[in-house]
This record gives sequence, C-alpha cells and structure tokens, in this order.
Amino acid sequence: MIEFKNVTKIFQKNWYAVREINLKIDKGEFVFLVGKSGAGKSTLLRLIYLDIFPDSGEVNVAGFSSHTIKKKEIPFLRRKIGVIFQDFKLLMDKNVYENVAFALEVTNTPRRKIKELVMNALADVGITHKKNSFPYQLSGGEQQKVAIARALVREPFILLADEPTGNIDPAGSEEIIEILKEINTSGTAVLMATHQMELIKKLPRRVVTIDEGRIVEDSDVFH
Amino acid sequence: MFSIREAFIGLRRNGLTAFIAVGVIFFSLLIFGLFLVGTFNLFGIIRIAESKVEIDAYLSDDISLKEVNSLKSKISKIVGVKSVNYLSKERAMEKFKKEMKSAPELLKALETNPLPPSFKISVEEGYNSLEDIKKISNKIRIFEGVEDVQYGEAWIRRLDKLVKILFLFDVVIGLVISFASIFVVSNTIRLTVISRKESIEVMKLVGATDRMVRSPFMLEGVIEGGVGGAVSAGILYGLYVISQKFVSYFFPTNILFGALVIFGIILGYIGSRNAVKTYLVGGEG
Repeated sequence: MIEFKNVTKIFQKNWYAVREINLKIDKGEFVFLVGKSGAGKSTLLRLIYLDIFPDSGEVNVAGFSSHTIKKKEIPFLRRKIGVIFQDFKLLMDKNVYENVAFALEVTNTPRRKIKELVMNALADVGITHKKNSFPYQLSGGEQQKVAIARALVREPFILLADEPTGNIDPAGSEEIIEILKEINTSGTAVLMATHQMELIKKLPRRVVTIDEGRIVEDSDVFH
Repeated sequence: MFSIREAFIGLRRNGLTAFIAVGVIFFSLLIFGLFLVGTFNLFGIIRIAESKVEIDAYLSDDISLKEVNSLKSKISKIVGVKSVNYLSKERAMEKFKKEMKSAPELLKALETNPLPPSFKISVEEGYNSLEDIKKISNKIRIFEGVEDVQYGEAWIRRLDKLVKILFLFDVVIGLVISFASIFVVSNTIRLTVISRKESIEVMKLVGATDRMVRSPFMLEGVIEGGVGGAVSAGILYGLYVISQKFVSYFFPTNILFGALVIFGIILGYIGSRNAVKTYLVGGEG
C-alpha cells in the first residue's frame, strides 16, 4: 500500500525535513503520526501524495513509485488518496455541495453520478443539511466535515489527515475523530498526523513517533 | 464542459476582480486603440501627400499631335506610371494666366506664348520614393521630343525624410504602448489568478490534471481580454461619432474592433497561461 524505503528529504542545505524513513502502512490500517511541530509529519504526508519528492530513498504508493512516476501520472495517484488539513482548504467561493462535487468534476465524472456520490459523502459525515451553505458560514468542525466528505467522495484507499483537529474545539474534535474511526471501519486506511496526545489516548491505534525527521518509535498498539 | 462552467462561475463569484481586470484591460487597449487611429490617419495624410508627387515632362515646341499621342502611350507603359495628362501650349498659357491674375502687367509683357507643351505624369502608389521617381524621369528623358523633365526633387526629398521620421516615431510609440499593454494586462490577469491560488492548490490536490487546472483560468483570461478589447473599441467608436461633429478623420472600424479584441484575447491567454504555470510548476507535482 504505502512504503517508505530509506527516505530522506532535505529542504535547505543541511536541513533534513525527514531522514532515513522506513515505514509501511497496510490496507485498512489506522495510524497516528505524532511529533512536535516541525518534526517532519507534514513532510511525510506530502511525500505520500507526491507534492514533494524524496532526495534519496523511494516512496511507493498504490503501485506508483517516486522513482518511476511520470509528472502526468501524479493526478491519477492523487485520485486514490484523500487529504485533509488543519486549515481545511475549502474553496471559499463555492458552497458545501460544490466543494465536494469539485473533486469529481475535475476528473470529469458524469453529472448524475456526481450528485449521488456527493449526497452520500455529505450524509456520511452528517452535513447534508448545510449543503447550500458557504464555508464562511460554518464552524471549524463543520468545515472539516466538508473537507472529509470531499476527500472521501472518490473512495480513496487512504485518508491522510494533517492535524485535522488543530483548529477545532474539543467537542468538534471528538466528532471528527469519531468520523475518522468510522471511515476506517469501512475499510479506508487513515494516517493522521497530530501533536494532541490526548486524542491518541482515547483511541488506541498504531502510533508512529517522529522527532527531528526520524522515526523514533513505532508501536502497533499504544502503551 | 467543466472548464466553461468553472470559468463562468469564476467570473461571477469573483465579480469585482474580474471587473477590475476588464477595466484595466479596457484602459490599456483604449490607449492602444487611440494609437492605431492616430497611425491610420497619419499614414492616410502621408499617402495623400505622396499622391501629389508629379513629374513634369516638357516637350519641344513644334511637336505634332501624332507624336504627342505616341509619346503618351510610350510613357504610360513605363512601370510605375499611373496616368499621363497632356497640357498643350495654349492650355498651359490659360493656366498661367489664371495663376498670374494678380500681376496683369507681367502678362501684358508677354507677346508670344513662351510656355512649352508638357505631360503631367502621376506615379502609382509604391513608386513615389525619390529613387523611383528619378528612375522613371530618366526613362522619360530619353524619348525624342522630350526637352526636359522636372519632379520637384527638393520637395520629394523633404517628404521622404518626414515620412521616415514619422514612421520611426510611430513604430517606437507603438512598441512602447504595446509593451506597456502586454505588461499591464498580463499582470492584471496574473493577479486574478493569484487571488485564487487556493483553488489551484485544491484542484491539484484532488487530482486534476494540469490541463484541467489551466483551462478555466485561461478561458477566464481570454474572456476578460476579449471583453476589455471590445469595450475599448466601442468607446473609441463612440468618441469617433461624437468628435465627427468637430473634426473629420479616418476611423478604421473593422480593423480597430478586430485588432483590439484579438489583442485583448491574446493578452488574456498569455497572461493567464503564464500565471497558472507558476502554480503548476510551483510544487514538484
């Protein structure tokens, strides 16, 4: 599914964003990626959806290798991956429905199919009633739900979540975690980067700890 | 389909940005259009001046009508000659009398008609440079019956120089205005794209191909450029209609509309393509 083989990424001279990373994530897994700010969590996620390429080593994702993938193949890799962020990255000039539909429109999905898929995705995260609202009319938690619906609408094999609860109040955060859990239960792998340890305590799953770009701990079950 | 819909949604939802972009494009192209109108009129005036260039061929006094006719047909055959008009001794005198009305005593002094018969030869467009006139004159000069050929060399030389200076001046101004328009328009469109870079980011994130990302923005740029061009052409036409009451000049309606709209479209296309390109190659994706 996802495999990092000795991956190093250097951003500036002598600044190792991630260093000699070896990591394997299997189908349907739920993995927490923890570490302080700047530890390299986001870099690791960006390497998965090939927003950046490793300087050495290799990343394998769903049959694509960072060594051999062509530039024009990258969009097709991304269609298999859902990504959500701390700042949601919703399009402010589109309403909830359009934001989710957008992910399908850019890949030329037939219109009727889009409606069905979008409504299902909105129902999955429980935000159907806000489908005509614009992002600025929603709370942080609601915006993240829309982002999740957008990530899920194309049925990715993995959902990458980069500090998804960073901008959300505790009640909202719990809701988001609950949704991620459900998504995982239905078979989608989840890789969630966070520095909020209390979330991990509530949900015992595999935890990969990263510090100064290196993996310092990888436990299958949280201790 | 997606691109067209996205382009129009983009224009509608980002109305103010689009409006400003069209406004800036309109203004730049208006100046460009004014320059075009100026150039057309300038060259119109030059053409009229150049068409006034004539060669006078003076014939011998005792030339017969038959010889005149045969000379006329020979001269007409010279490349570059547009028309040949014969002016007999008598007609020349009449003309002279008309011109000298204010000096009747001078006319009285003339006992005989000293004016020779002549041909007034006009040349075709494209043959009014000093060199061409010289060539044609030399060909006429060798015909039997032709005594002398004159063509106002000094005046042609001056006109030639003036045309060259004006042309150079016009080209320089044209280039400056064109570059300024290109710079302003493409940067304005660039700003409209930059204001929506999140949109590009998200498109890339959800797996849109580069073409898919690019096309709505380029279509928007083309629409903004085209509309800006059309509006500026329309305003120029309006100004032309109003100013016609005071001054008359040539207004190349079709060329102007065509040029401004096409120029706007090209600028919109290039501006938006370059702006989106920045973001497509910005990440390594």
